[in-house]
Amino acid sequence: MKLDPAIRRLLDRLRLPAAPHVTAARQGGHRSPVLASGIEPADHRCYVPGDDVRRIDWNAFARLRQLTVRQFEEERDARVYVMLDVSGSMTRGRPAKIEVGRTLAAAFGYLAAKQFDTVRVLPFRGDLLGASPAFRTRDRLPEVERFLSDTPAAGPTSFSEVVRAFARGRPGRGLVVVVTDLMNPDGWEDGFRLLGGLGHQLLVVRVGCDEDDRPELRGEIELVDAESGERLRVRASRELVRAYREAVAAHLVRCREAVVRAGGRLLETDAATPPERIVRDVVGRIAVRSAA
Amino acid sequence: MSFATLPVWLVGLVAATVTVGVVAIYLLRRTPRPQVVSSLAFWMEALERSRPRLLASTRIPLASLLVSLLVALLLVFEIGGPRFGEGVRGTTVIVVSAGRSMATEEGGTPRIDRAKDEVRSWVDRATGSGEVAVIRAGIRPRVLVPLTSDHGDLARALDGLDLDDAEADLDAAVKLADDVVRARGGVGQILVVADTAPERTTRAPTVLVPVGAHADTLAITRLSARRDPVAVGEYAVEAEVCSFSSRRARARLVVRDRDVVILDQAVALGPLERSVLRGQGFSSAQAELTARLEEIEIAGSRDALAADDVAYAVASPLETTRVLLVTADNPWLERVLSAHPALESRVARPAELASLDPDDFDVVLLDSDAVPLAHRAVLLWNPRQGSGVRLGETLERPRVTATLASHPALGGVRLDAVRIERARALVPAPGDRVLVRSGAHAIGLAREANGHRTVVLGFDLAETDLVEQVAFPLLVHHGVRWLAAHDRQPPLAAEPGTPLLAGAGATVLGPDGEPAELTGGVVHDTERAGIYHVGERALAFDGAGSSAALTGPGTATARARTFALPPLSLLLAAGLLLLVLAEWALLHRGRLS
Repeated sequence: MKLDPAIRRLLDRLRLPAAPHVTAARQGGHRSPVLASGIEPADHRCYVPGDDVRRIDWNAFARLRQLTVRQFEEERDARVYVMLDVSGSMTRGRPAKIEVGRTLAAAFGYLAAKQFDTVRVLPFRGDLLGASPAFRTRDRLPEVERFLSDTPAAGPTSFSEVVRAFARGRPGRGLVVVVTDLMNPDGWEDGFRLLGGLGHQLLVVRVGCDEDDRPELRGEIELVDAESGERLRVRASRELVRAYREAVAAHLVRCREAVVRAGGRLLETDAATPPERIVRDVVGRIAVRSAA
Repeated sequence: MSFATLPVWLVGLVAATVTVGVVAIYLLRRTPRPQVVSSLAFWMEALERSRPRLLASTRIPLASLLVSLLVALLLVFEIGGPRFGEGVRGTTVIVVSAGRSMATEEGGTPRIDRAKDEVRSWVDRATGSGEVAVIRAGIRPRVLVPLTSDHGDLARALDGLDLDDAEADLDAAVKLADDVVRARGGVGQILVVADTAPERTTRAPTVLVPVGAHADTLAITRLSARRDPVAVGEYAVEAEVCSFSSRRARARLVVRDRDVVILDQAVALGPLERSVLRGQGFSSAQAELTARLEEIEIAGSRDALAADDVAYAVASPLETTRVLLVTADNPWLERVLSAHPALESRVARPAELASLDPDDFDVVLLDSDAVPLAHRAVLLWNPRQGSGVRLGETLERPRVTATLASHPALGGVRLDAVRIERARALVPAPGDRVLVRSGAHAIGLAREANGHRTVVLGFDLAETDLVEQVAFPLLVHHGVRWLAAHDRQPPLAAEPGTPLLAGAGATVLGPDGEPAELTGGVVHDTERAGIYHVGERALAFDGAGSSAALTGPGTATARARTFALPPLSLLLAAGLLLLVLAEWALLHRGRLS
């Protein structure tokens, strides 16, 4: 897969904000909670022994006869973890949800790299499937795109296990973007809670499709699970389909509440929507317009 | 079709086939289609949450299968007309239609050939286990082959089966077949191979094997010829051509008197239109007319039946009437009689009457004061007492107030404008018809009694201006014609099959010129249309009157006869269809999406 030029042009006009508490140590484009060296003046305070004498404001000393030290806002980079669901359920939909997921993952990577944040793409199923190389510049994006294309969607999901594996790697705090369809009733709430507890800023993008959300099935049907291959024979009546929709809707409500409790946001999109519009809707809702 | 003619194993095979079909359809619709979903967990949760409905019960499709099976088998049996205990093991009487319409060609094959094939196939089946008779249903039913189990007899009889030139009397043939089955006793059935359905109900089960379907034809539906009463020696021909087709058609109608063409006219007809064409012939001899449709063209189709393209008629020869005029001196009557070429007149003075035999003449005209004469046909002018007519008072300058112009003796002539100087009132006897009336008095009357005809006019020709008018010769000619009993036209044509009364010792030649067989002076074998000759006399046998549209037994009437209980069949079929549709809508909807 390759990020569409139109999407790139759209992303070039946007900036991905990261919460101050998830910024890293290196110079970057995000405000840090620490007042330190920088170029944006923030405040003055009285000099205490040990302060860097280069920061003494001598003009103020001349006026006030008191030693004061200038303080600056420090701008640091952020860590961005894009977690992409590559389970079997992501193969469903027209186009397949995985295609939309890959586009979104690449878009987030592109956006973060544009502002020199450290980006890692982490595909997952029942466990983490490794990670893409960390990159801070856009010239590494083709490598990430190839990585995404080479990772097929198949198998079952267990998000809580994935998050535990992620936590075991002791990653620095950062913005965690989870791109998934949430089409598994278990593990999501625990995973989101754990991510919030680790201090990550959480953003969940749910990719849905008509088949998942608004199925139109009638008659004698043998349902086949896309992840496990299990089979279930049902007579799809209107009542059954309605109950299914209610079950999915309740699950999404639970997931949204869990994300909010973890301090994050949950955005929803549909796989049938054109990719450019998806990126504009999803990324545009969380990004801010770039000063440049 | 009827199961009565099928062996048990074949009936079982049909039922098994239908059963397999119904079960296959059931299994097909019960086989679930696979549908890959993102997660089964939500569906399982939905299954637990949704309440089971009545129609979701697994017993419903099974019950539906059983009902479908039952209805399908009932339908098959209903259409098949099963008659248990009766079948080909008994007597089979085959009635084959041999009417004119069986010559209709469909796809290049006449219906009769297809009928023969059907009969042969039934004979092959039936002769193995029972006796078979074949009845030819022509104008009159005839047993073609008596009951036999010899396959060879049946085959030979079928090879010699020919057609009549008129409509088949199928009901009479079916009745004869029913009598044969009944006389034989035991189980039996009647097989009717025809292009129409019989109407007659029978005791033995009747099975119709239909042959033929709707076909287009152009036909002569009427041909008539009659002598012109005014133009001596001429005869008029009238032919009606009808299109039994829903397409446009055209043809050429040619009417010949022997070899002389008297009418050759093109005719163009729209769908189901009729056209009447008229022609004129001139011959004092007997006219033997043959009308034929030639060069027939039907748009997008063809004329399927050639037998209805020809018709026959005969015009009687001009007959000479011998008239005796008894008068002292009446130049007007003498001239009128001599002017008519069909009259051979003899003028006699009253004194000469004794030397003549009145029976040598067809009509006798008695002028004023002539001696009364007993004869079978008398025209009296100004009668005197004792002439057989009661006379009343003498009327001076009577005015004609009423004329019975419709009487054949007057033939449409009205005497209203005639001036009469003097007349004798006539007293009509019971049965007399007053021809001319002056107020309350009759001055002219016609009498017909005991084979004698008499016309009496109560005035002298010397005392009226009638002789100066055009009506006079017409009045005389019509009167003579009626008196000579020439007003009755001989029948123009008879239906084929009508017995021909020729008289003992007569020589009768058929249409092909071969002598016909006489039985007691009667020719019974007149199934061929054409002109028969009895001595010098010609008689036409023509089936044009029975020409009709060529329909097959696939019409509603025929079907009604073919199936014993059509409403029940239809109900069963509709019930099965509704059942399948309802089951599909309620239980399997969406399978095709």
